[in-house]
Amino acid sequence: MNSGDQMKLKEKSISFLISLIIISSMLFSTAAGSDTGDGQQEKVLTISMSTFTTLDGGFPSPLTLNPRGGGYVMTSYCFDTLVWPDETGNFIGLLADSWESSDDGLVWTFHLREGVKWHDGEPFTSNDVVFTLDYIKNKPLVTAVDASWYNTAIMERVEAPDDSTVVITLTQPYAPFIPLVAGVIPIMPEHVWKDVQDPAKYSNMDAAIGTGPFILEDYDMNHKSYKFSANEDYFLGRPVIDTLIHIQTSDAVLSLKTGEIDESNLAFDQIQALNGSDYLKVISGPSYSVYRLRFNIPSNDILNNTEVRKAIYHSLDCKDIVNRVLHGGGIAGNSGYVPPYSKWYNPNVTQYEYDPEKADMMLDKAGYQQRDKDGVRLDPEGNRLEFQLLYCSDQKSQRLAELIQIYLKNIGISTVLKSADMQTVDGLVGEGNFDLAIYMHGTTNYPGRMLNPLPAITGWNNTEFISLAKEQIVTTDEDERKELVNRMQVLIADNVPTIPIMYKNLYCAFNQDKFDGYFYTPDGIGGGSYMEHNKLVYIYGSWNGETLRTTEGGNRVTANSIGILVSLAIFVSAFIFIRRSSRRP
Amino acid sequence: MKERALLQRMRSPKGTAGLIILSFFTTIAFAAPVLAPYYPSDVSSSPLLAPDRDHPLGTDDVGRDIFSNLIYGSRTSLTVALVVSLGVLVIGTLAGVFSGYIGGKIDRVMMRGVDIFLMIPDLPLILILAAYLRPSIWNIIFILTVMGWPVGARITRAQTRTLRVSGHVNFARVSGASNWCVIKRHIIPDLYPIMTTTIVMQSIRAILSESGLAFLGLGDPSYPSWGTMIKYAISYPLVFFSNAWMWWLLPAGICITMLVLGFVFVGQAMEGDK
Repeated sequence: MNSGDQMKLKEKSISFLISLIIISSMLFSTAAGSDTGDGQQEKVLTISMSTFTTLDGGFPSPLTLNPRGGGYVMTSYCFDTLVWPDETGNFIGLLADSWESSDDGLVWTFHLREGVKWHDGEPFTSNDVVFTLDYIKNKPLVTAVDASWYNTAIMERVEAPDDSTVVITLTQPYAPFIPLVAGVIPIMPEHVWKDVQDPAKYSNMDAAIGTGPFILEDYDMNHKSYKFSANEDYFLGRPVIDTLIHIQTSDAVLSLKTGEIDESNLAFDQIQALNGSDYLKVISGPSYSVYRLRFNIPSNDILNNTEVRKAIYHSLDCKDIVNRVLHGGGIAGNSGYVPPYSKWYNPNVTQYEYDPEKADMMLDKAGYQQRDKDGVRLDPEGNRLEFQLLYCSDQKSQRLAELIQIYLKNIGISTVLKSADMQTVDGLVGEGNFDLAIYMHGTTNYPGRMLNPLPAITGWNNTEFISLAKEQIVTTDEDERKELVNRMQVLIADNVPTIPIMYKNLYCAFNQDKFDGYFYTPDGIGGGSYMEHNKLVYIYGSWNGETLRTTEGGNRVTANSIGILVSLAIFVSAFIFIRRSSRRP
Repeated sequence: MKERALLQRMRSPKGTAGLIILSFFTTIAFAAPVLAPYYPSDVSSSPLLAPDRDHPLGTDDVGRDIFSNLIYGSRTSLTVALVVSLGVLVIGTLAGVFSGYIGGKIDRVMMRGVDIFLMIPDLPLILILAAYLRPSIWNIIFILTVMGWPVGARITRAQTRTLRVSGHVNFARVSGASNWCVIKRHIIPDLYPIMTTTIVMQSIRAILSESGLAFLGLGDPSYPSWGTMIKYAISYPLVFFSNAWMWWLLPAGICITMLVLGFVFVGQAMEGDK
């Protein structure tokens, strides 16, 4: 009896000891895990581009990026351009220290920054610029949106008189040369790329060697995630963060609230859901992103008729649609295609008010007055006026498609909805395999990229428009140029090559307690897109060490409580186990 | 005799509850135009309204009346359930009886065919087909029927095999009854319990699959569906940060659960479960 009691006591003390060890080891290990070195925390910033979740940005090299998936942003972390827009939208020199142009606007001389090194330690020289501008020619990034990212056609000659000077001679004066060419084309290292066989598919790690503030650590195509580490020798100063991670999240709002991510661009509805989280700062601005109804003008004989397109425009109540789809996160479209907040906006163009009666009349006049028993109009041969409406499968596009279907049904046009992911929609539209399509894409505040590609992205061929487009791009006088751009908008509004239904605003939220300094770049980066993802943010932003420690502390407590729970469970099971084994004879 | 037993079984509490639920939803489906204050595709109201007198369950993100959509949604669910279960019943029974009654090589070939169908994983194929075909309610019905009939055929065939060699069938054949007459008079009536179970099980499967496909965005956007409602409710970022989930998300979920529960009760009552 007595010895048995002693045994039990011994067992108890042993198990107590074990549990103590377990608990303390848990505490110790979690505490050790969250620190690197002697209290120096690694500054990791995790961000998500939640509005691009359907798409991959592609490998971040200048020739493999996906311009529709925020790929340019990723590339801009690793690669620098000659010049770059700052917070005010003015261009500062990155690889170029200073630059000047000849009086006729034909010859541009760039004086390069001294002492710049590639990520692999090789020195950067003017030869790399000459190499890039020659190399990138005839290797355009072609997408269905035809954003014509690298405009190399206007460059006649690129020369390097010495190691730190580049002289670019243009074929014609080009008004937006700085924002659309010098500020867009990433300079690539000659020593890496000169022997590459198939540059469009080249995605070895050295393909991401640039001069930029971040060095690519990892790119996961399947998870669409990127990891960058800071470039210690960056010429503008080392980034304030050590590691930058881009991931995809299924619910950006929840991820922001739990701290899984520190920044994300969001839709307006999601901004509402952030209510009550004061540490999350929201920045917003016009994004020049348009939701538009695209017509298959070249292949569809009915939609080829301008009167039909005008009737469709009259049948849509764009203000109501914006209200229902964006819930206040955008504004209704303008028939001249240029958003009203742009400085190029021309208000004196044909307007198409919501007027279904007028639309009915126009369709009657166009020869579709016969209707079948469902109220769907018939063409003179007796076929139903029925179109397939193609759209991306995200919620906003789907809602937009449903509303357009209802509006078109009102005027006797039947639509069949067909959804697909963005790549498929791009593909089908690129092949001309559609009738109507809802298209969302960014435009810019530069007429050369906002309006000039319009014939290509609508299938509308108007010789007058094309000649105006060519003329405005070489006109350096601002007033004269504005006049030409105004005339282009009048032409668009009169011909309705596409219906700009609404412009979405840009919203993004970030954890300002952890990292502050995000700003809205007025005319965007990369020739006018991705307003909030300016890499200068990570150099001039501020990392708040003090608030960080408290949030880290909070995390540690939860981690420890889990540890305690686990060790308690182990303790209990060990106790039971010991008791059971002691009961055995 | 068999019918009477079945009726008796339906009198059990479970059976009664199931029948009440089913008749409730059927009534709603038939009376939808009378009950619903709005047409389901009507978007004349303001979006995201909270429940009030005009909108008993508020409006969704484009301004559709949620209550009306809920009521019309029962039509979609019940139509899919009815057509799919009848389709599976007819095709499955015909194939099963034919295969089981003829026997021999034809039976073996047919059953290997059925085996192939049974081997294909259901859901992935449905997903692929639904994504590939146009999102239309008839395509969904077609897919669900095509994927469902082999199960019915298998069970029917097994029962037919047993019945074929049983006394009364042999007697009828020896007495000179034609094959068609034997099948019609002696085999099919004996299959009634299996057939009713098939209808119940296939209805449950059809309702859940239709809602699931709609939830994944593969449903027919022109028909109101409970699955679509849940999809939109969940993808609205504020749904859990406000009370919207109570009148937008929950009712659709409850409707799906209740309707399926009704079928489950009826099915269990048929099997003699009280």
